Amino acid sequence: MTGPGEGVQGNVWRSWQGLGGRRWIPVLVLAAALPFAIDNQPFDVSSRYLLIVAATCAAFASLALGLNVVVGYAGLLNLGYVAFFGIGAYTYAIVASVQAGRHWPPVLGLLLAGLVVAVVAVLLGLASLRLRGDYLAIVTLGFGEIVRQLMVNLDRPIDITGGLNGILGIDPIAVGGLQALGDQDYYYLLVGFCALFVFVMLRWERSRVGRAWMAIRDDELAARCMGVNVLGFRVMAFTAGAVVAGLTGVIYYSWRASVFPSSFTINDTVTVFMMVILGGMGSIPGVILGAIGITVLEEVLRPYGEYRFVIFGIALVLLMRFRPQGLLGRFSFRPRPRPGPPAEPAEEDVAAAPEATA
Amino acid sequence: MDLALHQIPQQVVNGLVLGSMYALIALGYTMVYGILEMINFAHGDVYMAGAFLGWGVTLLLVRGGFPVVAAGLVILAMFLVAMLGAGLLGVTIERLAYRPLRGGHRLAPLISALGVSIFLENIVSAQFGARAQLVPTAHVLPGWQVSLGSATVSFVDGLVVVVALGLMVALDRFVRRTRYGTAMRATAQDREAAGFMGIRVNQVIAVTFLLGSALAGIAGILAGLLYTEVDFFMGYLAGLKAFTAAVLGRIGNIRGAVLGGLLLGMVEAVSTPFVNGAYVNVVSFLVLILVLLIRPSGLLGEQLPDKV
Amino acid sequence: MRRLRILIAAAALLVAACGSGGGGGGGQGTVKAITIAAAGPFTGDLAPVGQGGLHGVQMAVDDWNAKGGIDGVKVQVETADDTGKPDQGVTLASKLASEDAVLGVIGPMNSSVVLATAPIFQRVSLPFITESGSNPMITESGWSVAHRLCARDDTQGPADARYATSTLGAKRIFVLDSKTAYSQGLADQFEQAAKSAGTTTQRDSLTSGTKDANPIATKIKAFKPDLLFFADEGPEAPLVLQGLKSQGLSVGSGFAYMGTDGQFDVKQFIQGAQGASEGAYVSNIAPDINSLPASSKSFVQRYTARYPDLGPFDATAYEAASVLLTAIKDAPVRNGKIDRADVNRQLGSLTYNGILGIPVHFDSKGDVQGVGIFLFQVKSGQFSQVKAPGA
Repeated sequence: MTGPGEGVQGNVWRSWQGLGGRRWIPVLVLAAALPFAIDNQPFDVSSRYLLIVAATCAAFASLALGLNVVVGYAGLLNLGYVAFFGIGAYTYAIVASVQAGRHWPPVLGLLLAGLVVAVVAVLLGLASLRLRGDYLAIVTLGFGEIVRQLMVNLDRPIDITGGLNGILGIDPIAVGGLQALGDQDYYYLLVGFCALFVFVMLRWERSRVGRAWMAIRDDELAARCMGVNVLGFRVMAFTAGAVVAGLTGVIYYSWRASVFPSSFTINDTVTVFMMVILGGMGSIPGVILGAIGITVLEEVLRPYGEYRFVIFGIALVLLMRFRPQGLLGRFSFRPRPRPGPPAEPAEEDVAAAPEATA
Repeated sequence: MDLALHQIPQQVVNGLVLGSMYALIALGYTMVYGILEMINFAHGDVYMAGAFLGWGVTLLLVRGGFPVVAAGLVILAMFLVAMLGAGLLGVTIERLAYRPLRGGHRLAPLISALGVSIFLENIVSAQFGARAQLVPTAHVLPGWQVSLGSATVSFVDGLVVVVALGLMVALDRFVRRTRYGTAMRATAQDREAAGFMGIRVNQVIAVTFLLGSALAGIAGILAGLLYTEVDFFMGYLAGLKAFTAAVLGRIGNIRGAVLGGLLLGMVEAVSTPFVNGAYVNVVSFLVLILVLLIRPSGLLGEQLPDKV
Repeated sequence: MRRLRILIAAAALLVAACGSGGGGGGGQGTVKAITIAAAGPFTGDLAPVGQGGLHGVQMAVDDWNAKGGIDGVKVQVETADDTGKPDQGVTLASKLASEDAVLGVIGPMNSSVVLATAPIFQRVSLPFITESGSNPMITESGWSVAHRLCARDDTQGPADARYATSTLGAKRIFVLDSKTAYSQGLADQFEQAAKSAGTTTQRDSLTSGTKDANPIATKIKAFKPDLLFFADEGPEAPLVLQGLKSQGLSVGSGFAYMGTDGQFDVKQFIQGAQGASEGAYVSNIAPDINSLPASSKSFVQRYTARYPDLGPFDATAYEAASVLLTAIKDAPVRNGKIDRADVNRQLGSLTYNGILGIPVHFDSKGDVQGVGIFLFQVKSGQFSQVKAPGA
């Protein structure tokens, strides 16, 4: 995989500017100043609570960015996406928590989590990315379920995951002597990671890798004919999304200091999907907005319990029908016009060429 | 070990019952896939809706555990309501969430189906709570039991197997022997050509959904009677497993769905004594992944060449 | 430029929405608002048990408010519905911790949720009294804010085992848990005690939330047990009993069943099992509302009139809330604020006499002495108390 940070400091700044980085500076300033704004807010809401919500937004923005690579760029329906969120978190918790009795250096734990997620994603990807969209969706769904079952059941005879009761007492992230303690530290950490991911993705978008992804997404057959290594790029996208989720998982759950299997269900994957689709597949600012919007909506609608998912469900159907590109997306979901015999009744249109699984 | 072996006859019975239900649900998946080449994610939730509709009948017709009319009538009413309600629901979903997206990108109907599934699951859980609702079978179903060796077969076990197999045979006959069935098969084979031949494709698709969903609804009410309860999440798991069964047999093939369903049910039940109860689900999903990776055309399928 | 405007608009929306959606009391915490929180599974699978906890708290607060509240201030109840899931509990606990008006928590009710949220409460010195969390670790982990008003697994398990082996004479016992912290802990305690009494045991699990109990029923039947001990929060028990019955193993001569705590629920365990639970035993760490001392008669009448669907922990929740409110009342008011640490200190030192009939006094760990184990049997569709196997 081409490393994004390979450039020297000067190169980094130049490419940042070239990527339209200037546009992001006000956003960064806003994000950095937010905790102070919250502290002095005039509303009758607990400041601590607002900060918690803000940090949660940052974490889910990262998640949405990762899924954006998988679905928005490469067009892969990964319905087990949150499983990687969980694998990252659990890997870290297993090597750095009070309950596990192990206290690895947190950075090492973070790297290990990233590695484990990457390996799993590559294996799963290599095995299944040859399948067409709907099959891939089911395989990833099944994978997500298997991961969740493993989380629940790997507690006897040897206790690895803590079962239904999760892992408690996860170590805070620390680098050298600096420990991240408290909501404000983690807010900055989560925003920082999000910014890093944005940077990486901006570079990718404009690179050959990004163009290859979108070629595959829009017309796989043509891309293959042009010599694009479809499988390789798919695995790359799949893994990139997974690693983003895994690393975010480490930070997010070390903040909450505990992790449980009940956080990684299909409803949670659907929530991240909502963020990406609502914000706009393929658009970085779009999915970030989507993440913030959905996270806030979830908090606001929390008293209504399951009804918020009722709304999500309807929204997905309506979005697909009337505005599949979401707010800011570029992925139009419409097929390119094809030459061929025109079909009279519009409903009988069959646009895609027939395919079979390999 | 012989403790485990001793259970085998009963587990075979369990497997047959479980497998019949998987097969019923798998039929809906396979028919829709055959015609539209799309996985209907919401199918499992249609099964759940059928179960709840049947349960709703008991709210009206069963008071304090006792049926207010003849028990047979109650059961019949449950079946009819579940079947019609689920069938109607399936057709409506097709009309509203899938048909407008036909001809577009393949991802769109999948995401739409996901939305429908989420909607159904959560509206039921929001309305009725996440707790399971009791289906009062004690005085509605005959309680006789038959012993076959060390296995006990209860009335409801027999009911499930007989109804499921009967319906599967009927469907098979319908698809193979009737004109309309032929029309369905033609549409599945080549939608465009079928349209040119004068087949009303939209209607055929709607009927496919109707039949598949009605079968799922019946499976739902059977599950309700078997487990004596219904809950909002029952469709998710059952749906995944039924899809596994459909793929296992051969996706798009009705006999394949039956074969896959029975096989999967057996595998699950017979493996239970040997693995910790909780891992049985893992077994099913592993089967799914392995089949898709190694032999996606299923047990009854031939390896299809890459068509370009 | 357009993007920048969109982002600013989004940020404004964020702040505005939080302003309207965020709950909780005033940021200053002046004694114009006293809030206690009720935490537990009020919706979801475990709602039959959880609702009782909520009602008990609501009734206690209403009773206090009817007498003028605390120093003239009406007490508010904030509900924290964790649906029995630790991750929800953690999110809610963080929220409660950040709201200064919340001075104490009744609950959480599930041991796994308590264990996950206790560190959060401890960090902000927010005291909690759990009316049903029975895992010993709750009070053995050194949290000064932890209190419980029920018995512990290490009392209940051995007591139940004693009854099963001595009184019921079981020699082969199948021990089943539902994989939660509460269930596994209790089943472990029971199994250990049963084994040391010389019985043959087999152990297995039925994951909480599973609906199909037939496979596990087959396994149980194959073991030919004299007794099935199932430490379950409630939803799975009727399914297992019915599964066993349909495979030919009914509660009766030669086969006994003992369930625990959350299964003490008429709707779920008796009606839900459709007759399969007749003759079954349930051991509870909280007293049946109808077995309260005569002095609590008026409370029982008022309560059952208002909340006819009784659960196992209604009385304990009411008592716990009353104790907490007493502690808040006794805590000093400094500069118009009541400090959580002061409330906690009061809790540690008071002795309260209420409806339970025993003096409520928390020891240094947070446990109360004298809470017993109560044993019931299902007879003719009702729970009837059996002589308690000794507390």
